Amino acid sequence: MLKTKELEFNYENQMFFKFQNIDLKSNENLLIIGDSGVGKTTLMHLLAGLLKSNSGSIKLFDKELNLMSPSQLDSFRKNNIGIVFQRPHFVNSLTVKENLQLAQYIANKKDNNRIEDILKNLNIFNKSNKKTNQLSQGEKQRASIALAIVNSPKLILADEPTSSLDDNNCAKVIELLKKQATDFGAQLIVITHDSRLKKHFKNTIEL
Amino acid sequence: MNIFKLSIKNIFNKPLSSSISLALLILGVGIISLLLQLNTLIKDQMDNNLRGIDMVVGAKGSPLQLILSSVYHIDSPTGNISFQEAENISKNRMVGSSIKILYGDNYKGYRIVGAEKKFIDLYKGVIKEGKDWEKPYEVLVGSKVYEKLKINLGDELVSSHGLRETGQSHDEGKFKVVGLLEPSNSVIDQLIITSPQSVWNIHNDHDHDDEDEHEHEHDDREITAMLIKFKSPMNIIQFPRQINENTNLQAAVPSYEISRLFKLFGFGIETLSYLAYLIIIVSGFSLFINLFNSMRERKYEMALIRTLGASRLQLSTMIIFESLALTISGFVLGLLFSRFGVMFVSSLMEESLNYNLNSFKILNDEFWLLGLSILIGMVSSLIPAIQVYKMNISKILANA
Repeated sequence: MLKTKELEFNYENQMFFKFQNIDLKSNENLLIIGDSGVGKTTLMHLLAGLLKSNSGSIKLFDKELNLMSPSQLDSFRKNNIGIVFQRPHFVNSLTVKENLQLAQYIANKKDNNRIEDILKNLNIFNKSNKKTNQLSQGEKQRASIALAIVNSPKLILADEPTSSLDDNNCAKVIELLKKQATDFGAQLIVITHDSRLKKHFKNTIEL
Repeated sequence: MNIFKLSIKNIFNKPLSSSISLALLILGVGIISLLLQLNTLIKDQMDNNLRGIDMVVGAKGSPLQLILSSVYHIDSPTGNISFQEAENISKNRMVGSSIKILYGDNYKGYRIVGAEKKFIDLYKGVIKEGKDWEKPYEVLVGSKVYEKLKINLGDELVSSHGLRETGQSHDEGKFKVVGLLEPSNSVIDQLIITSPQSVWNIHNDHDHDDEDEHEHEHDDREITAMLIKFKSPMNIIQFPRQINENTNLQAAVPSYEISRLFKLFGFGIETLSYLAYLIIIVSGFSLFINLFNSMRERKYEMALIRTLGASRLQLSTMIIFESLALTISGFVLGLLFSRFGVMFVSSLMEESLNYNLNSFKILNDEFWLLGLSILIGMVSSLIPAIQVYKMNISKILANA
């Protein structure tokens, strides 16, 4: 499902990353772990199509990302990938529900039942009509997971989802992510420096 | 949810900074539109009342005063002239038609004008109820007057001397209302019109009773002014000068005087409208600063929207639309503001000048104002929109 080969990226300021090859089968989750500065965020942006590599190839769902134009990448991303950021981001002028509706609109979808299902599943249905800045930290994290999965992506990319959490909450969030992925039929790739997550994944790559 | 709804939500999410830009725009657009409206309305009204009058002959004095008093009925007359002299001028071969008018009295502040019957035809006056006057002391009443004072057919009006309400009232000045005029949107709406003889009768000695029948050898009757239409428009150059140089009368050309008047207060209007344009430009700057700042505050949410799959163009459209929604509603509210302004000013003018300005059409210049508002909206959102278009989402997210 995901196959990378000889992936290389260098920033203009001469930072250079060479990534090991990844080969992930369908129906498997993956943990990518590495210390700060080894290019974790860069790799994630490459996988999400937010950056383009200088050489090598990324094959995701049998599509070669490096051959796509920026607009093709936009459209590939909205149809296939959901992203959970380290710090939750929302459109602040909208409520939780409206944020999810916006995500659906962008993907040319409209399904309020699904929004309801997801919010209930994540236990924040009673916050539907709250502005996102009125949520607690934990609620924000769950709302950002909702935003990542609302368009039924085949792949969920999570960037440091647990780095600021204590052990207890760390375990909760990662189980929640795995459960959401299973519930909604998506694969999960978590990129982190947090070694506590190792025990939650069968497949692990160390950068 | 869609991009346009999102723009509107974004505007309402920042009520303070949005309303400052909006208020500036409303003020700018409102002032310009108010000036345009008033200018056009006053000009229309003035032109409308000018129809068919090429020249006015009256007593020596200020030509503008002569025009204002005898064409627009808003200033005091310059004095009276002899009926005989006026008659001589009206027989000149250059004169196409002439109408003698005279003032004397008022009824509750509305002027009673003695005039030849042609006067009503000049303004296309139509009798709505009743009939034309036949005998002295019979009057036709203009629409504004009977509406305001609730005058009915057959009422008796006791006039006061002079043109102001406070004048002494005559015992003999009892007029009988024989006809009511249709509204004509011209000066006759605010006049009470009667035969010249009525006015002469009130003000002259009682030994003039038989004047109607005979031409006296020493005619000492007077009129206030004579409205003249020339046979050929060419006469407008030569004839007024002849009168001013060779007689002790004054001839004034309304179109000259009115354009002189407009030049006088046109300067003020111009200055004020430059100020209003400046306000519009400032509103554009404030809009730009708002968008620019909110762009920086919202860069993560922009990046988020992009990662959700929105295209660059969609995001730029959102920014431009936020700006346009503000400027267009500023334009609409500005027009509304100016209409209330026009209503207010015209109610003031009606009180003090017995004048009425009411027409709510959208002027061509206001379409230009709409164009300007849209332009301001586009220009002030251009740089923020380009910035959003060129935004490097990966970099923004990496620095989060």
